[in-house]
Amino acid sequence: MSVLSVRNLKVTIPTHGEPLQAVRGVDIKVGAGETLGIVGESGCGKSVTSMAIMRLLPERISVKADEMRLGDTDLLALSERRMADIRGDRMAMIFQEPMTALNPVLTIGRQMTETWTRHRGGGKREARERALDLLDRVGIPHPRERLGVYPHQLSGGLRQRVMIAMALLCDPDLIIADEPTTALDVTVQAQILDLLASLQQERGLAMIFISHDIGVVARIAGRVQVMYGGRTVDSGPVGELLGAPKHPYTRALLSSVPRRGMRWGRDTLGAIRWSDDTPEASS
Amino acid sequence: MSDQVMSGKAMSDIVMELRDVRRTYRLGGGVFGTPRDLHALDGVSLQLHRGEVLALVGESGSGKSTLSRILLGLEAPTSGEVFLDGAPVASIRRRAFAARVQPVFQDPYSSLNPRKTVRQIIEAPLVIAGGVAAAERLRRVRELLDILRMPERMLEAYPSQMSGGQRQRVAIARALISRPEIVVCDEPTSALDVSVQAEVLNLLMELRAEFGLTYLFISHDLAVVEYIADRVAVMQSGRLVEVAEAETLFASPQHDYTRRLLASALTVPAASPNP
Repeated sequence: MSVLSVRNLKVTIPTHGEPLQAVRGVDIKVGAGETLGIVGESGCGKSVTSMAIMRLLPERISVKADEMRLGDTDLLALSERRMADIRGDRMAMIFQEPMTALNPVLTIGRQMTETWTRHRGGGKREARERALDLLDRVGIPHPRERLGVYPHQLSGGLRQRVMIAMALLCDPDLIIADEPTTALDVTVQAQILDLLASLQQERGLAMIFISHDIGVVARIAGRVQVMYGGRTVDSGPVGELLGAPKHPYTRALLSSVPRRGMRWGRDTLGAIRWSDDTPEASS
Repeated sequence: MSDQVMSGKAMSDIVMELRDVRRTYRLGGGVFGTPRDLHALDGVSLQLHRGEVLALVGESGSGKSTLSRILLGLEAPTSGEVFLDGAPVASIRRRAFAARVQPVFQDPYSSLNPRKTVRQIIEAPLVIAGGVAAAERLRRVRELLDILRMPERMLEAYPSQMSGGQRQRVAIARALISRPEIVVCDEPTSALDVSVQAEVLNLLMELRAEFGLTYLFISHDLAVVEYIADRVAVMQSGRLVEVAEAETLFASPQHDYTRRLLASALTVPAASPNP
């Protein structure tokens, strides 16, 4: 059975003129122990999709779907209050920039123990033990001392590890990671991806991994959906989809990514035409 | 294509040179604290050959951006010397220097003045340098828009009306208007979608041939570097740990740090029927 099952998701954003249909009927299914990669360029609707699933979009934005279930919970039917119980507990999110996702004026320990007691109750000591255990698991050196530090005192890589530890705190069924390594250096990125993959295997997590970076997705995802213009235009197992792409957009996207061994003058990067990139006819 | 002529070992003409450049920042101190020195550049010597693409790679804090600011004359070295065409940079007048070495920055959203039109943005370096009449400035702006495949009506548009790719083309036009010898590109495609990145990279390489440009190209993306660079310089903690021809460096990296960087880079697996 799927951990997350979304059918015909539609997200419409009101504007001054015609409403913008950011997501136009997307289906998503992720099972336990599975990583689904979602790739696409700016404006394709990949982040809006994840925010809609977490129900983190502002109220004025309309979210509709034929189905949106986490296990046997109907996410569409939940009150905001019930949704807040589930968020951080059964489903958690990892964002691109941990500095904006973490609270700058609370210590790491305080943020982690609050999350635990909010969802699981119990005493401070238990929460602290749990936080220590996870900081240790995500490879943060000297976890006991780190409980007392503020986010700005950590490097980008360590902050992202803290975000991952917080996401895992309550043993969620589903993790949505939106560009979790984009702000990191390549060597740190490789470590974080390995960490996510091993935690996901170890805990049988369902994970949605959103990225513009096809190389990153190729490394971590089992199945991939390619989004364009608010729709899934292509999907399949990562090896097939990237190795022998059938859909013209996937082919065009792949041909525009420089690969190792390619040299200017000998190899050509296929650029997707600029026709869609003329300015809005604005006054 | 003429660009092939410019690559490889034929180039020996040195257009810019750094000799044992150090740049130190004094950190902290406060009222009672003890200040300490951060060695952003710790004895860097580097030569830029005329017409080449020299890529500078390394991770955050390695000193790449400090090096680019020194090349652009935005910052002076704490010690060491910088030469442009054999002349000490300190001896060249600021405006004359700026016309010859121009930047393209990473973020086309913050590096363009939002209150100026495309025409005003692109002609700014000529206005600052002075001595070029308005009609001639407009002629050159039009010519560049044409080369960069941007429609004439963009002249009076504002950055907010443009996409990221178009903004970066405006930034490139601004860099080229004073007909510089050197363009310092600091992560010029990092903020762009891959399809747009491809177009900008292809454009930069075509412009190099057309204008006889020399690029210092800073990037964290090793596949991009391999695609366009003639030579690669690898930085770590303010030092150059390896400088080599691109093909040599990617085929047989010598320094341990270079090997680690290469091993960490994730790129799309080569397309093949049923892997």
